[in-house]
Amino acid sequence: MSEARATDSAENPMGEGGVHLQTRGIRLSTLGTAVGTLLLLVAALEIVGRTPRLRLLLPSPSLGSPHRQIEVQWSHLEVHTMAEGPPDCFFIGSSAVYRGIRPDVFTDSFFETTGESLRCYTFGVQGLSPGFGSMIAELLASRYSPRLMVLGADTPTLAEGTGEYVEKTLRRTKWWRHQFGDPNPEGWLVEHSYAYRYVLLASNWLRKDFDRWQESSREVEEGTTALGFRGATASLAEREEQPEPMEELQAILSDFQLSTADLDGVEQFARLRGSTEVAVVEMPIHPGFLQYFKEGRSDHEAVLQAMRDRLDPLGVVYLFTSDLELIADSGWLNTNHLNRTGATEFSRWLGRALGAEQLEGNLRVPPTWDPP
Amino acid sequence: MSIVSIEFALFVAACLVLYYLLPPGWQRTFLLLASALFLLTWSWQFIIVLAAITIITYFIGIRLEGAEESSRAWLVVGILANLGALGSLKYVDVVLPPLLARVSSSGPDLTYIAPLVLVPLGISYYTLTGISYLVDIQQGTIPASRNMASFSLYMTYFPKLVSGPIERFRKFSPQLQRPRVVDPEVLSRGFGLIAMGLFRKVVLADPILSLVPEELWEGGAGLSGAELWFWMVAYGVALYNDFAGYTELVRGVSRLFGIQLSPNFRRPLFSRSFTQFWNRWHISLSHWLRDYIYYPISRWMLRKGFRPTTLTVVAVPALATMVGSALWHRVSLAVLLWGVINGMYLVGERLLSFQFRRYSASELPAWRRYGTIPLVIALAVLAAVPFVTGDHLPVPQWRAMLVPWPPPAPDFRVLFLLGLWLSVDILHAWLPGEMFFRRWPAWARGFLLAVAALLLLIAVHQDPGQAFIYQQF
Repeated sequence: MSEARATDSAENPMGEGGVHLQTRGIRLSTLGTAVGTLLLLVAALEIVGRTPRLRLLLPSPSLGSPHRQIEVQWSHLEVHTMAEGPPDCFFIGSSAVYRGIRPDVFTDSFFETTGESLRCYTFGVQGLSPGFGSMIAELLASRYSPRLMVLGADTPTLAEGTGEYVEKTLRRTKWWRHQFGDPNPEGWLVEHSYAYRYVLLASNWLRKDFDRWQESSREVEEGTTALGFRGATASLAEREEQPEPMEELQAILSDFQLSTADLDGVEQFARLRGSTEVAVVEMPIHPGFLQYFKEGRSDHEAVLQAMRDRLDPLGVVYLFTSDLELIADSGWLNTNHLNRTGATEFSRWLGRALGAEQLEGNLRVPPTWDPP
Repeated sequence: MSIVSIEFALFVAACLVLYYLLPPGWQRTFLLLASALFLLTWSWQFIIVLAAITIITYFIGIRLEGAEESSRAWLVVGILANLGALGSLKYVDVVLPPLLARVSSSGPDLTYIAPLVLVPLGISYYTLTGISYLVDIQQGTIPASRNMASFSLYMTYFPKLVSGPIERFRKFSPQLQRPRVVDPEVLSRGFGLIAMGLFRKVVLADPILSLVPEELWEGGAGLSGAELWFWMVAYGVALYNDFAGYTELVRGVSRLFGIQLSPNFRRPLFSRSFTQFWNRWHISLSHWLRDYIYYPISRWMLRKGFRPTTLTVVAVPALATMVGSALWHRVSLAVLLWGVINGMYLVGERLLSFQFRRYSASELPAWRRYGTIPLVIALAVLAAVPFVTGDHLPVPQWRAMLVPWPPPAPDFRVLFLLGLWLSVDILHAWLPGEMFFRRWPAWARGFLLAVAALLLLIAVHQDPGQAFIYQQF
């Protein structure tokens, strides 16, 4: 009907100036087709998201977080869970953890020592400090009910300011907020819909820094194994000059202050012992790295002592690596990260060390619930 | 409350339900209250400013009607009241900070006041609405409104409040008097316009704007001539889709209430001349400027005995109009330069028209019909350099643009979005009707809607809720 007819109608029952809504004759075929098409697309994406083989053909879906690496870690964990079942052991920490702990090697070593099988996953997040790491640990513990959780604590991440970026970005992420007491529709959608996660992923195409994002995203995707480990092949021994840590980290360490919030986080992690067995391990640091602390080695040792003061009363296994000289220069990627060789060595040692603690009764990893 | 937001959608939905539940006699009053509520979501102070302007204009309108010579004084008072509100509030950020700094240098520190003063939302639009109302009464083309509620609704109707279109009383008011039916056809047009508007704003304009390099806003330094061309064109397309999207969106919303608002754009980037461009870009403002600046000055000069083909008669009205347009947008030397250049384009075109016969499009071969489009775009882009970069004398940028070499590394995302926009506007130009897809079969329309919705969902997540560019003017 033309607008003229609408406006000139002399028979309008609503009188002068009134507007009458006439809904008879409304056809919803266009809307129906649109909704139908969208539903088909959503169904297809949901199937892809829930089928490990198909999902691996596409980049990891997004959680709506600016921290791509955590999204990839989370996605790999989901795929691993769908394909192999939920892990019953987690390693949590910063990049030192995803670079430094090989779950497969640890599992073998732990089994050789104790005869106990574990299915481990390394959940390391770049820039994660123990303060926020304890929240991730809490989330993983509540979702997967693992038998063992190991916090890999590297002393630089206990410096005030180190974990700020991760904390800020995750706290801004609606999915994350949804997990921790701030229910919101978008967080719910991300949690329950893979189609929505793929929409979020696609929206990165419009980022101003898309090229850089895509490159680093691809690097993370390709570098991270199905068990969350991200090994590197380069070696400190092959380098002519010792590479320096990132400038931001150097600035933080040159004005080193021990973060009470992170110490609290370590303690909070230890208190998960009520629901799962926990242990803390000092992640190795190359002696050449200690120079970046304001007071050198004494700052490093102060962190270790402060952690011990928090953990000892709780009876948590806490392994030190400082004086062990576990890793040769060929096992280091740089002064604060291990390479694949170093990770293999360290993981083997860690499996044996925690296995020994298990045999001695200090660590009480319950037997597996899986049927034989 | 932003126009592109869930809050606005819910607000409109709630208003529609109540609007159609109310008896007809209450509908106008309800729309007025809804408009006030909409304004309230921005700031309660805005209501005071808008109410003051509305009341003053209303009573001056009544004084103007039927009066003879003395009415001119009332008209001046009315125009000054509107312009005064516009000048004192819109340009407060230009005038106040230096003034306060000066006062503070010899007395108490008052500089904290400047950021506290808010520029009322949409003031540039409703002051022009008020002026056109008064001038039209004085010229005898419309009667003064004797219904305060109707007039207030004309001034404050919420879909057009933020950024127009600048409606004329003679077109808007009769709609309120007539009985209307909003039937499935009207609803379909309304929702079609809303969909088009959202697509233009969220899928085309916002993503392009978010990809424009920061250097462009900072004088264009660091960008090569070719890059300047590329990003200026991209910005122009984004600006067009941003504002055209806004207009389509609010026109669609308004249709659902049974009120038609004027279109503001008619594929301006396909214009073959600047005269055509200004008849297709922000039409309601261009026509306002034409009717209340260009024509009055031209008529006055002709009455004073100037010959129509003299340079003065050609140049003065065009330049005054475009300078007026520039001042309306922003008070700055850069924007003023943009206005002067565009005025000169119009003057040049008019002078050429005295030398060469003007042909209608159908008389011309295709290459001549479309050949001038790139030229118009190129000249418009050159004129827009000061407007966009904020540089009031962008000679280095212009010099760089004269040699657009080497070609820029293309951003394929922007090229894709430009292609998408071009497809939409070409379909608009070729297919009859305001919405090219309305005659398509339902399945094709549905599929198109699904694709648009998906793109919208993707785009909105990257940069949600960008304000409309023209909201700032």
